[in-house]
Amino acid sequence: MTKRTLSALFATSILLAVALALPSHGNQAAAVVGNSIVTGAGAGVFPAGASFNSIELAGGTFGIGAQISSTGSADGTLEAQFTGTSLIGLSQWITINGWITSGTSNPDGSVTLNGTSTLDMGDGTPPTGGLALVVNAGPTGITLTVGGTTLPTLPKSDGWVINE
Amino acid sequence: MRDNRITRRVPHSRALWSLAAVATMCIAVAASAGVVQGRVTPGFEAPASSVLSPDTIGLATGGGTVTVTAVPQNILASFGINGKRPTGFVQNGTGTALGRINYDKHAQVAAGRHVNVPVMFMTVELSAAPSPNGTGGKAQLVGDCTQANVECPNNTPAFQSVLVYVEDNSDTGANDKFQIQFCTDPASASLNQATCSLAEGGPIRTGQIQIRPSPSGGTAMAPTHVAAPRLQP
Repeated sequence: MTKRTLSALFATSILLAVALALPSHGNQAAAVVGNSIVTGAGAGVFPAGASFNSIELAGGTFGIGAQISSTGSADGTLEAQFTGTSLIGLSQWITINGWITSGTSNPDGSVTLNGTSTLDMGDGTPPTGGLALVVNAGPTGITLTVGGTTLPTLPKSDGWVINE
Repeated sequence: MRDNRITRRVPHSRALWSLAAVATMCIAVAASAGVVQGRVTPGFEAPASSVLSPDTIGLATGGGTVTVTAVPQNILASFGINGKRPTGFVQNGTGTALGRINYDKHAQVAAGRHVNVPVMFMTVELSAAPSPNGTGGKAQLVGDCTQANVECPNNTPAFQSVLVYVEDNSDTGANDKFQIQFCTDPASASLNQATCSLAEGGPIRTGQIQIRPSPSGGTAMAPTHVAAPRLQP
């Protein structure tokens, strides 16, 4: 009887110790650094026919710096600027600024980043903020979904998107 | 007989008390280990420093464009940067860091217009008055041009390192800064700036810089108003 009680108490104490130690270890891992770093800067040319909000898109540039943690949360920014021509033939620069708050690395080497963005159509109207942003970025190009609208993919012809 | 029973019970209760003490010790050790780990976790103890420090724990991220002064006309350049402390970072003044610097001039430049280097060192200054998102500060990132599969501008003698200086002055990117220099000194936390080229860049044109003491855990609230400056084609 005594041996059983002793064994039970001993096992309980070990379990308690392990249970208390493990969560603190997990929190530390999540708080220190992200597991993935996504960096990019480059440019590309849209294929013929690409358009967004009636603007015929010609090309674009982008800059990305984001760090994804093991929990899927992320910190960072995305900036993209697309050039195009309006229906009346005026040159127009569309600018998207995004705050990245979560992300995942995909099996094909690309990353999907989520956050909130501001869209400036560059036509004199005030920029629109608070738009949901989804970024799919990889070695071949970037695709943005702003406020639920997916923009044409910008094929990358210059620069990098590096997920490491 | 009674005495015997008592003497039998005394060791039993002693053993129980001993075990309770052992359990308490185990719990105390486990808890204190967590406290010790917490002390080195960024965000718990990383103090707001008043100068760029190789020991300050922080993250630097950024993406955007800057205007590079050039003749006959200025050049547009995109950048993407990341800097963070490695796991097990030791605050010993070496400023070890991980990350990457991407910089792409959107025009032909004789010396080369691409920069793609890993970050090896970083110094950080956290803002004493961070934004509601907990961001703000300054950072210097040092990239290594001597590693394999990197790109740096051509030069004689060859550039061995890249020095990037960034400032996070607002949540909207307004007044944020990105500057880049190329140096003939090897990468180190205390790079001799006399060996570096003139700085390119300055106030960012679009995009933003974020400097924070630790990962936000996805809780940062993005600005919901104007962030992109008006641009002229």
